[in-house]
Amino acid sequence: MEGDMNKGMKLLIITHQSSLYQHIRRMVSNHADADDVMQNVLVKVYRAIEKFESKSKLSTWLYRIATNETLTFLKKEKERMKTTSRNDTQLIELKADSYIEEGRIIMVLEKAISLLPEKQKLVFNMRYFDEMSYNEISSVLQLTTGGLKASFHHAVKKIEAFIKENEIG
Amino acid sequence: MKIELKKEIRGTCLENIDKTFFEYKVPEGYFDNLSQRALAEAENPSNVNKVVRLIRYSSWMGITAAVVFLIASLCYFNIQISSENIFENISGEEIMEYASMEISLTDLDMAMLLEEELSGFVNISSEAIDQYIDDHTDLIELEKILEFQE
Repeated sequence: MEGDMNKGMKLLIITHQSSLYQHIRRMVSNHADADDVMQNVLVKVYRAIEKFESKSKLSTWLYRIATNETLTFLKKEKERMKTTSRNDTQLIELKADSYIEEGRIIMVLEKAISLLPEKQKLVFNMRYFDEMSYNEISSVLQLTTGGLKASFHHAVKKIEAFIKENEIG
Repeated sequence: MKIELKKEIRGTCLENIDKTFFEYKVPEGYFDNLSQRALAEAENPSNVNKVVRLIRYSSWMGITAAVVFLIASLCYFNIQISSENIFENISGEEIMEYASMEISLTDLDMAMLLEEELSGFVNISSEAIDQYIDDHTDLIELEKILEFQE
């Protein structure tokens, strides 16, 4: 029975690991942090999978856990930054991260996204990169679709303004 | 790209960006053993952060609290009513003299009192407290906190 559970869990992880990783990685500044969050997410999923009630799609449930874990991580990071002033190093890590393709356009868009407030950033990433529907995002973030549409619209405007300021596009 | 999304970003600089450049690469072999690492960590009992409920709510506790509150309220109002009568019999000079008396509660006394009050929480680890906060904080609250901090 436990063996079946582990097999099922492995299959679940393998199916969703890439999209979950990308979702988390876009919110945190480096791979090490993304790995930490990813581990916490998978452990929580493993321990809570029996409580999953199929009220929402499995992927939505996974995204919700990943989002909550990421926000919790970011909150702790902010607390830590208050005492260690990691703001500058975070930007340097963003630029020096060897796991992302080089190129000025990427860096500028990366920076523009990183300057968005957390909620807008989440909405933007889920809509633009993951191409999730507003209903799906609404299930993950527990926000109204109207609010999400407005949030995405504002995010796009801000990003565009930033990119134009930096003479790209 | 989905048609709806295309419409939303039409005319913006995001329209022509190749999103495949924004796929974060992972170290080689990272996903190969991710599930194994996660399962090993999840099955390790030492990694289970026990959630310590600071208060266990139940229906009888609610009833008890309501009864205590009612009795305390009645006592308070009785004291107020009776204290009005008491003060009628005390002269202003006597009250001034009482107020001018030095109260001998030092900082040390206060610290000792606080220590006794808090001694029940000393054995709760910071991890358990973090876990409790983590499990009882929802996304909306976190958003508000994060937005407030910005």
